[in-house]
Amino acid sequence: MKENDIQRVEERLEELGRICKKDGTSIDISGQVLARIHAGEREKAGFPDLMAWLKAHLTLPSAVLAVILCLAIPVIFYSVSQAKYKKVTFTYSSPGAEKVSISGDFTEWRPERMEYDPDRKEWSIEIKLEKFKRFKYVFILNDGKYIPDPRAGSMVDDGFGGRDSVISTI
Amino acid sequence: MIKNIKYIVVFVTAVLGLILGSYQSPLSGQQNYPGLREQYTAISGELVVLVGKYKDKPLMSAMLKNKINEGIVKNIQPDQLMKAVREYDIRLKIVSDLLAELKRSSSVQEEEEGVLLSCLMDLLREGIGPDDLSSLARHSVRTGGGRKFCFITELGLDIFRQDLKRDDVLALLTGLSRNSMKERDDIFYLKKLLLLAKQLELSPGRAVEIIRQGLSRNRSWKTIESMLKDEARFYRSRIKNKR
Repeated sequence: MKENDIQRVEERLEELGRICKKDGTSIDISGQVLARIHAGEREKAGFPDLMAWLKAHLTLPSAVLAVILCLAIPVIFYSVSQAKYKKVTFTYSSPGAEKVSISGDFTEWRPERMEYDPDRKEWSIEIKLEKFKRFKYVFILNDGKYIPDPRAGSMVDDGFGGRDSVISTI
Repeated sequence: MIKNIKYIVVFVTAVLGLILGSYQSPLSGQQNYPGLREQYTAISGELVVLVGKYKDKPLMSAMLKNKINEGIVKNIQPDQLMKAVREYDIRLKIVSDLLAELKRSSSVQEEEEGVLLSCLMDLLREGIGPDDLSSLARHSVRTGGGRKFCFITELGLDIFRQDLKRDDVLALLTGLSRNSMKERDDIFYLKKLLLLAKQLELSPGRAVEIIRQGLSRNRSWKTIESMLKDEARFYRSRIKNKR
């Protein structure tokens, strides 16, 4: 409400007060109504009052508690989302290959490059897989040859004349 | 500034916490369906129509998209890709009906649906007919949930590659689906028994029959192993007597 609106209401109410006085009633209507209007204005503004409330109530222990909560909530959310996943390390022994990638349902078939470990003499990659799912995948050698994982539990025809490996996270 | 330090600390911590919480969250890593390469332009229209058929079935739509992506990544010729995707779509339709029937007759958990679909697709591709598949899935889900059906599928995919008759494999899988077996270890023992039967030179059909008998009587793996050994001894003595 604008300042001159309040002024107009104030004038009207004072007039009403005078009428009431003539009638013998002595209630401070204008005072009450104006107090309500101002309270409404304060509610609308909100933020300064919240800041005032925080300044009045935020002590060191409550600030520490707020910090802990702010840190804990995302950690809890993160842990819950991670509980749905399982880390699986895929390995492939092909020391002669120059580049090995993995491609499967879990990468929407985009090839992901595997790292070569010279000590173990194998290519490996760790991938987070959703639990209680089955995924098909293959290894890609030197960007051209698609081969199923010889260590996979099962294999299926891929429908294109080749084979896919299957991994389940059950 | 120092007066307001506690507000600043709270604010900065909250922002940092939120950033940390969302960092590396798997949900934030979702990527879009990749565009088709030039060579696939001619078939892109049909592919879009096929995928669009499953817009209300996100699991199936994702499976079909994955199959298309797989073909593209493997550089499959467009006509061959289209043929494979059409066949996949036909199987997906059959499996969709089977899953709907399964959901009506058994208690299928929502999180099991993806696994069931994938298993049904693989077994259908291996040549198990819809009726047998329906019965196999129904019994497995009743006795051990989607987990069990997944183990049975894994076993089926493995032993279909061996020199076993399709009917024998199917009979063995059906026997397992009705049996109380629930763990992956059971699959391991069963594979071991099949290997033993091969070493004992038992015919695959006879080995499957003995295993089925053992399973239907709820015998332990150890007992079934003895049954196989007894059968091999009996078989050898019969051959000796004939000579």
